[in-house]
Amino acid sequence: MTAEFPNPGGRHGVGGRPPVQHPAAEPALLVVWFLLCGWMDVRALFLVLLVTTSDYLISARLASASRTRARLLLLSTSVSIDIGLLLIWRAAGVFPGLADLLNGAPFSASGTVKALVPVGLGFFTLRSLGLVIDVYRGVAVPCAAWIRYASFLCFFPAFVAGPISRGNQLLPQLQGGIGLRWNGFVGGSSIFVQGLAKKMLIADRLATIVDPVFASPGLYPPLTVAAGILAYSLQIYCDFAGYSDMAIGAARVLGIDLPRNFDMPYVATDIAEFWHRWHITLSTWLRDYVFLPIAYVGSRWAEELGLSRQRGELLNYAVASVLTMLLAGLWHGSGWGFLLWGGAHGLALATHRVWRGAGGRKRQMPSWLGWALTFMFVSLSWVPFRAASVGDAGDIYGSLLGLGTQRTYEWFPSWFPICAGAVLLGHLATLWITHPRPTLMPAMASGLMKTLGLTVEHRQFAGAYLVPTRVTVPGTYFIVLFILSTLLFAPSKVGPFVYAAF
Amino acid sequence: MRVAKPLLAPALGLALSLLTLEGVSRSYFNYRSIRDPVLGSVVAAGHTFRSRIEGSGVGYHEDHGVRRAPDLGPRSGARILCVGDSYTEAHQVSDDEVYTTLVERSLDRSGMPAAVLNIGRSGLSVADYVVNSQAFKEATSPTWTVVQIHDLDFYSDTWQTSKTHFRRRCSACPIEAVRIAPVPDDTVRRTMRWLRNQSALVGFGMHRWQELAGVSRRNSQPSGAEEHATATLASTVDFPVTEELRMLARAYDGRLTLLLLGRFDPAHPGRDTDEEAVITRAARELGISLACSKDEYPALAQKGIAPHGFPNTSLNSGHMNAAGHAAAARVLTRELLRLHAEGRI
Repeated sequence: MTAEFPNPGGRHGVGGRPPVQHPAAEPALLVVWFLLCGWMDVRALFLVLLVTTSDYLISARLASASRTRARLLLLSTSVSIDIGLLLIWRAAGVFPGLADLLNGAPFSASGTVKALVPVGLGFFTLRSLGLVIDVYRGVAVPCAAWIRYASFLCFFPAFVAGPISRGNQLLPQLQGGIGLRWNGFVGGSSIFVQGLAKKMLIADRLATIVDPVFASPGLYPPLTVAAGILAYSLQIYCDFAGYSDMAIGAARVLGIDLPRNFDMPYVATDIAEFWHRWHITLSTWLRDYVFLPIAYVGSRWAEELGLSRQRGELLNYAVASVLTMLLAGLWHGSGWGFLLWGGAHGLALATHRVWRGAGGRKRQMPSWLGWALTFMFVSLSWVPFRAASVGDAGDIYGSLLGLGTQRTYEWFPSWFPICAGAVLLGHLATLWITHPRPTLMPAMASGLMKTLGLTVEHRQFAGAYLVPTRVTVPGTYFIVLFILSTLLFAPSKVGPFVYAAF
Repeated sequence: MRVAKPLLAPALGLALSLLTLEGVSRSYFNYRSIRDPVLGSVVAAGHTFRSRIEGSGVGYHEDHGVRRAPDLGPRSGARILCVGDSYTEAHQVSDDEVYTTLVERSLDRSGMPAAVLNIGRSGLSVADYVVNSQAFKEATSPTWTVVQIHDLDFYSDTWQTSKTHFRRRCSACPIEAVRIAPVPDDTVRRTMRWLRNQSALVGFGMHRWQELAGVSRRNSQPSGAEEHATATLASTVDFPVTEELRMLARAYDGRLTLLLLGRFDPAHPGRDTDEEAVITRAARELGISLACSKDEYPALAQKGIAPHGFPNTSLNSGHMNAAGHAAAARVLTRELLRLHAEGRI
C-alpha cells in the first residue's frame, strides 16, 4: 500500500459549514444503486449480491477462525468464487456456447449476446477479494454489517470502472458518513467536469480516428496508421483517466475520497515508472496480491536451487513480472491480444530490471531516450489490446511498415494533432503547476492561479486537481468557456467508456 | 446593490465567455435564414452558409435558397435546376468545389452556357422531389432538371411515413406521393429564427441540440426496430422502382437527368450495388437520362483518393469531399453535353 490514508474531515471544515448528512443516506444510496444496477444489467446485480454476501460471511468467519487450515479453506473459497466468476466470463469470450448460456435467462436483461461481461465485474471482484485477503493477513478488520460491505463494493462512482479502492481506504470514510458538503460539491464538480472534458472533447474525438484505422488498416498509408496507433494511446488514457476523474469528482461531492488512478503516465521514462503512473489502483493491487506472493515463493525456490542472491533476485523478478502481467492481460479479457499485451509488458518489466542490473549497479540512459522508448513501446503494445484479433494486430503492424497488400487511400486526420497538442499542453501545465520544487516562473504560476480564482489541490492520495476557491471574472470566463466548448465541440456520438467492458 | 455586487464577477465572466464563443461560432457554423413562401426555411438571399463541422465549406445563396457561386454571374443559355439532398446542398465544401459550380464552368468552357441552380436541401427524398416539382419549377423556371439520388433513395428512404413519402392504397392502385405538411411558422419559430439570425452561437447551439436529440432518439429505438420496419415494408410494397422513376420523370415533364451518386467500395470501386443496378436498368427502360458518379471511381481509387470523407471526419464516410464532387461533375457534364448535342437541352 503506497497511498497515504485520506483525512476525510480535514478538507470539509473550510467556511464552517456543516455537511448535509443523514444516517439513512448510505442505505438509500445503496437501494438506488441496486435498482439502477438491476436496470442496467441484472446479471451484475445478481453477481454483486452473490459476491457481497459470500465474501461478507467469509471475512467475518476469517476474523474469528484461528486454525490455519480453516483460514486457508475460507480464503480459497473466496478466491474460487471471485476469480471463478471472472474466469467463467472470460472463458465465455472464447466459447460462444458458454456465452449463450451466461446471457440466457434468468441473468440476461436484454437477451442479446452483446452485453457479455456484466457491468463492473472485473472491478468489484478485485475490491472484494482484496478486502478478504487483507482480513486473512490481519491488516484489516471485517465489516460489522452486510450493508457496509455492500456499500464498499457498490460505491456507485467507482462501480463501473474503478478506481479499485481498498477496504482501509474506503470503509473508514463510509463509517464517517456520506453527506453533501459545499466545498466537496465545488471541488468535486470541478474534477468531474475536467474528467468529462477529457472523455468528450478528446477521447471521443480520437475514437473517430482510431475506429476506422483499426477496422481497415490496409486502406491507409503508414503515416495514418501511425497516427491511429498514437491516437489510441491518447484515447485510452483520456477515456479511462476521464472516467476516473469523474468517479473521484462524484465521490468527493458525497464527501468521499477515492484514490487516484493516473499520474501523467506518458511522461514515464521507463516501463516500471509507467506502471507506477498508469491504472495505479490496479497495478498496486496486482503488486500486493499477485506479484509479491509469487516473488516470495520464487525467492524460496531460488534459495532451494542454490542460485546466487543477485541471479536469484533477477530471475525471481522476471518470472513474477511476466506471470503478474499475463494475469493483468487476462483480467482485461480472454482474447490472445490481451495475453500478448500482458506478456509484452511483463517481458519489458523484466528486461528493464535486467538492464538496470540487480543490487547496487544502476544503469541510466538519457531521460529523453528513455521517454521515447517507453512511449513507443507502450503505444505499440496497445495494438493487440485494441485490435479485434491477433491477425488484425499483425495487419496493423504490417501497414505501419508499409507492407499492406491493399491499395491505400490518402487521409490524415486533422483532429489528431489538435487532440495530441491538448494532451501535451495539459501534461505540461500540470507539471508546471504541481512541481514540488521551485519551478520556472513560480510567481507567474501562482499569480495566474490567483487571478483565475483557482488552486491546485495536490494530495498524495487523490492526486492533483484544479479547484475553484473564489469567484473571479477570469475564473468564470474559463470555466464557462470550458463547459460550453465541451457541449458544443464534442462529437455528437458519445462512445462507451473503454474500461466499462472489463 | 448588496445583492448585485457578488453577481458582478460571474456575470461579467459569463458575458465575456459567451462573446468569445460567439466569435468562434461565426467562423465555425453560421448562416442567416428566412422563411420562403414556396420552399420553407432557406438561407437568406445574398448570405453565406458557413460550416466546419464536417469538411469546411462556405456557400453563397441567391433567392429561394438557390446556392450558386457569386462570381458565376448571369448566363444567357439554359437554366439547369439541380434538386437533391444534403449531398447537393453540400455545406461541407465551398462554392468552387461543389459539383453544380464545376458543371456550370465545364459547360461554359465546352460552348454550352447554362446557369446551374443548386436547390439541394438536407433530408429531402424522391417523394419530395415529386411533390415539390411545381414549386421548384415556379421558383427557378428551369429548362432542364437534374435529380440527384443515391442507391437506396427509391427503396426504404422514400417510403418512411415520418416524412413526405410514397404509398399505395391498394395492391392494384398506383403509387402516390403523400406530402407531410411542414410545421407552421408560429410565433415561437419566428422568435427562434430571429434569435438564430442575431447570434451565430444561438444558431450553433440549436444545431447541436437537434444533433444530440437526433442521436438520443436513434439510441433509444429498440434494437432492430428499423430493420424490422424496412423488412415489413419490403414484403408489402416491394419497392416499385420503375413506377417511382416514371412518376418522378412525369413530375419534370420528362426533361430530367438522374445523377446517381454511387456507393464507394474501396476494394471494388467500379462495382454497382444491387440497388444501383436496378435503378440503372429501370432508367434505361424508361429512356431517362442517367449519369453515375461510379464511372469515375476506379480512376479515383487508382490515385488513392476516396470520394467521401474529410480530414476532420473519417475516410469514405459521410458526405462527398471535393474529389467526389469533381467526379460527379465530370459524369454529369458529359451527360448534359450529350443531351445538348442531341438537341434535347
